[in-house]
This record gives sequence, structure tokens and C-alpha cells, in this order.
Amino acid sequence: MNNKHKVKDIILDKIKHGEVAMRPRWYFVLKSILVVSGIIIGAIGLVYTLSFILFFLRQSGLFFVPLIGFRGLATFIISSPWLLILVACVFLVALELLVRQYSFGYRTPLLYMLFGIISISFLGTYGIAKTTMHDRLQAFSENTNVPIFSPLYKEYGKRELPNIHMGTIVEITDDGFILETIRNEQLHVHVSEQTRFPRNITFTEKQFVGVFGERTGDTIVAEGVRPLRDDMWRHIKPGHESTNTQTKPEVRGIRRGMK
Amino acid sequence: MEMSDEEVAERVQRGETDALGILIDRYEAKLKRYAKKFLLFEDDATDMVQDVFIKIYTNIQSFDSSKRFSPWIYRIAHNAYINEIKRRGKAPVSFFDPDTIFPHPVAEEKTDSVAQENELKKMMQHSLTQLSIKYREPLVLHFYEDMSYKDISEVLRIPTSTVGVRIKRGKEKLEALYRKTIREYE
Repeated sequence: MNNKHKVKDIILDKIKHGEVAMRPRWYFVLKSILVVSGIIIGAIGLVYTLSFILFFLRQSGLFFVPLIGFRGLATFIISSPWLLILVACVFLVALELLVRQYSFGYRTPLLYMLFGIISISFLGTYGIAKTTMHDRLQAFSENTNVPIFSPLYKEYGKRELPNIHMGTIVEITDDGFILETIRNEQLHVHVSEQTRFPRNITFTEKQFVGVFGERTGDTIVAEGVRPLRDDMWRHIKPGHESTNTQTKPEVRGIRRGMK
Repeated sequence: MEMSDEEVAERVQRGETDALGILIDRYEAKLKRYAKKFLLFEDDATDMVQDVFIKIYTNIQSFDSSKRFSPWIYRIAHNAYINEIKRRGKAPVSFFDPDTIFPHPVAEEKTDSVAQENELKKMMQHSLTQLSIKYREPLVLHFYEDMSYKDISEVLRIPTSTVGVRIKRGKEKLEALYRKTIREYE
């Protein structure tokens, strides 16, 4: 018997004697369902984590800090939620590996695929950022104790970062303004020539702002002040009226160099 | 009229075990040649190919008969051969390849002239063993198994453009190795 017949006969013989069995179709269907589920979970996980990072940046005020010079940028880097960023990276890698199970995944260069996944995720994140989902979930987590979920909002949602203060200007003073913070404290913000703020902007009473600077007692020496969009922070400034600097009449204003 | 591979595979899926014999007849020699050229086996690779056919039978229900059978069977063989390389620990198998990250605009080469083809086959016979797995495998699949870049991309699960890059670089390396050996011999 030559080799050709040998291989065929051995295999067919093994099959007939039940030594080799065919895996049932449902095994592969189940495997496909698991992969698709993994992709869906990975995509939801990635979008959720990215939108939560955005939520944290907004809640903590870290969002505006990089615009305030080198010290602001350093604070942003140090205080960024690196653990959450790592989790997002894990979701991204898992998603990439799962998508590569399909021909459109492995036929596409890795860079294109990563770019595609990141773009779609950012679109989803942008969509969620437009809703009040995280604000509602945070409010919900305050009264409940769901594992992972509640500690996440308690840990990140209410985290106070040093030197970052947000609130409403309640009064313009000779050397700055009085800020009513989102934690209902009244702080005196000292603005000087060294304070950075956008050109040609006038801060007015009732305006919602972010202040970066060291706090001593009830006084903050402002290194930078930024006007913040009302709609982005509307849920963390209860009781504060919505204002618009373009339409509201200026009561007293501070501009660069004005005392 | 002879049944296509896909039709035969469908028959095996339906439980007609003997139809597997037809696939074995059609692919045994090809998979042995692939094993010998890729794994550099000196024997006839019978045991290795036997294991591949057992895997094919075990996993036949995962074959989608609307697609081509040939890349599917070579994919199973590729996995089995890579596992064999890992088991033998003879050559490093990389999970990460920079060639798959960036897109490469490499078009499939037109058929070489007979003289060029013969020259290449001569170089492959001479220096293929010295080529790394990364370049050896696409060259074997393209020049010995007559597979298109698209089919090779299905087997290796890499972008088609990466297949083109590997074949192009593989040929260059092969030529350099061949010229070096000739110079040393002279």
C-alpha cells in the first residue's frame, strides 16, 4: 500500500471507528455568537469608558486646565485618569483582536482599523457627551451600591483636584472677583498681570468660570481664568442661572490690566 | 462533470464521510509539498498531513460553502505547521509584524517570463532554506502552490498589500542569498 492510500485509509478508518469526530455546527455558531458578543461588549465598553473620561475631565475642571500654560498642562498630565485610559486601551486592543477574526478585519492594515475603531468610538463618545447619561448615573449611584459602577462614580465623579476651582462670579472686586464655587463656597479670586485669560474677554457677574491657582484659606491667587460654557456644566451648578456673556448686560467687568 | 471542492466539502458536512476521501486525493500531495517547502521537512511529512486532514474533518462544519475551499484548507494547514514550528522551537514565530500596521501600495506582479520563473525556481531550490519563515511562506504559497495574493492573505490573515511586500522582499532576499552563495562558491 503506498503512502497516498495509507493516509486516506487511516483517516477514513479512524472516522468509521469513532476515533475522530466532527464538531457539530452549533459549536461554531456559538463561537461566532461569542465573538460578535465580544465585539458588541468591547465597543460599548470602549465608548462608555471614553465618555466617562470626558465626564471626569468636565466634572473635575481638568478640561480647561491645559489651556493655562505649562503648569496647567503639567497638572492635566498628572491628574488625568490614567487607570481609565488604560482600561480604554485594553478595550481597544480587545476590539481590534476580535474584529481581526473577520476577513474585513485582517485584510485591513492595523493602522486603518485602529483609526476606524477610534473614529467610531469618538463619534459615540460625542453622542453620549451631548446627553445627561453620566450625570443621571452619578445621581443614581449616590443612592445605590452597585459593584464597580457606584464606586466608579463616587471615586471619579466627585473628585476634587488641587488648584482647580469652578463656579460663578458673584461680584467683581478691585483685584479680581468673588467666586461662588460649585460646592457653595465663596472664594476671593486675586487676578494680577500674571493671570492668564483669553484675549479680549470681559468677565462679568453671574458668569460661570474655571479658575486655576493655589488656594490659601478663602483666597485663590489665579494663574489662569477661563470662561466655561454653561451647557457643559449645567448639571454641576444647581441654582445658578444660565448666563450668556454676549447678551447679558455687563455690571462691572475685569479685563486684562484692569484693577 | 467533476464536483468542485466546495460541493465535496458540503457532502462531508452532510455526513458523507467517504467524500472526505476525494478531498484527501486532491490535496494530500499539495499539503505535503507545502509542508516540505515551508517546514523544510526531509521526510515525506505524512504524519503532519494526516493530522491536518483530521483537523479538516473535525472543523468541516465551520467551512462556509459560499466561499472558496482552497484558502480554508491551507489556513488549517498553516496553523498546524506554525504549531509544529513552535513545538520544535526551530525558528521564532512573531505575533507582531510592522508590515501589517501600515498600508503598502504593492500591486500583484504580472506573470514572470519562463526564463525569469525558472531562474526564481532555481534560486528558491537553492536558498529557500536560508530564508526566514515570514518570507518563505508567502513565496512557497505563491510560486509552488500557485495562490493569488488575495488567497494568501486569507491563509495568513494579513492584508493583501502585506503579502505583496513580503513576496517582493522575499524575492530580493532570495536573490541576495543566491548571489552570495555563488560568489563564495566561485
